[in-house]
Amino acid sequence: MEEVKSKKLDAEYTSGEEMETLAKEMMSQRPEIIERLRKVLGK
Amino acid sequence: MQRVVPLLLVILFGSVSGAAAQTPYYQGKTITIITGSQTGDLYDIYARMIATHMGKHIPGNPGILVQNMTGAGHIVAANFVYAVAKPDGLTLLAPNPNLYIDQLIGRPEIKFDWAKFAWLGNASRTTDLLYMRTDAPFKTIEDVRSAKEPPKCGATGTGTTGYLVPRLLEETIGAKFNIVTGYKGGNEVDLAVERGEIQCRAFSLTAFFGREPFHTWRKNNFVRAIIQLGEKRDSRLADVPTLNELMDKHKTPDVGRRLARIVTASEIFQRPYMGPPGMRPELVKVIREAFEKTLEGQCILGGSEKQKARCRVHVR
Repeated sequence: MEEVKSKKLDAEYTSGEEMETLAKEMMSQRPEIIERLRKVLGK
Repeated sequence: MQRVVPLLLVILFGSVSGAAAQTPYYQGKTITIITGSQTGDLYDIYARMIATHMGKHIPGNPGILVQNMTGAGHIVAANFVYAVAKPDGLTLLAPNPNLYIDQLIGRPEIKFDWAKFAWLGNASRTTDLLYMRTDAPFKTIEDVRSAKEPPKCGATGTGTTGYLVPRLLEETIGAKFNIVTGYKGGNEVDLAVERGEIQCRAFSLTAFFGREPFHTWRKNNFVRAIIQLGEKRDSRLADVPTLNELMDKHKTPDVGRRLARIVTASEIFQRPYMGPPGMRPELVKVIREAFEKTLEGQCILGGSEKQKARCRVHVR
């Protein structure tokens, strides 16, 4: 833990409500967007 | 005395039952934060920082432990918290933020619904950039767009920023890259850049300004950032265009913009904390408030630079 304590960690808070909204937005994609994402990922 | 004893009993019982009614849910309990990383990785370090400080902000002051549940790039941990852990507020998750992309493309190992976790907060945000060796014939991202021989960028694997960002730039603004994958770690990619084996790498702006060899490389003008993916230009990269600016310039269609939004959202998720679906709203509220106090949070999405500066805390 000494190593952990010596590290400087930047922390920047985002609320749970904001994250929930973003998560729902991310999971509501149109099929053509998901197909394009698969293509980008080479899947 | 016969009157005194019942009175004392009433006082005692009244006092005990009153205390019982007010006993905080978390008193005497232990919360476990499960992370899919190994001990010592950044996810683990952040989780231990949260575990060390959050208990004092939760009524009842529970103990908080961190458990490392590795496997399948955090998927094992996320599946466990989603489907096996009780939604009693005693098991939380600190996963890799890119898991939502795995769900979107339908990876069969995924047994969770990212949107249905109990969202508690996020501990860190960053943005990405792509740096290029300054002796390469690509001074700007426009040079990459028009190059006959694309630059070689390095990445560890296809699910990483080093791969996703160049592919996103190909899809959205017509840049072309040769992406060389298979490096064991980010340091190996940087070493390959140093050797001249490859010329570029996409990764976090925090790392670019936060550690070696980048301090030396920037000082010696060995590399330069040619694009950044934040919503606005970072003040340290005032002359480097954002992807949004370039998508406007090149009139990227809506599909490409949606794609960019999906890929760059992982910069916002960065260090997410969640609970299993079905966690009682009052427990979600308690943990959200404690999480915010732990992070000394003043920031929300879109907060001012002054607000953001106030939320930067350091663990020493």
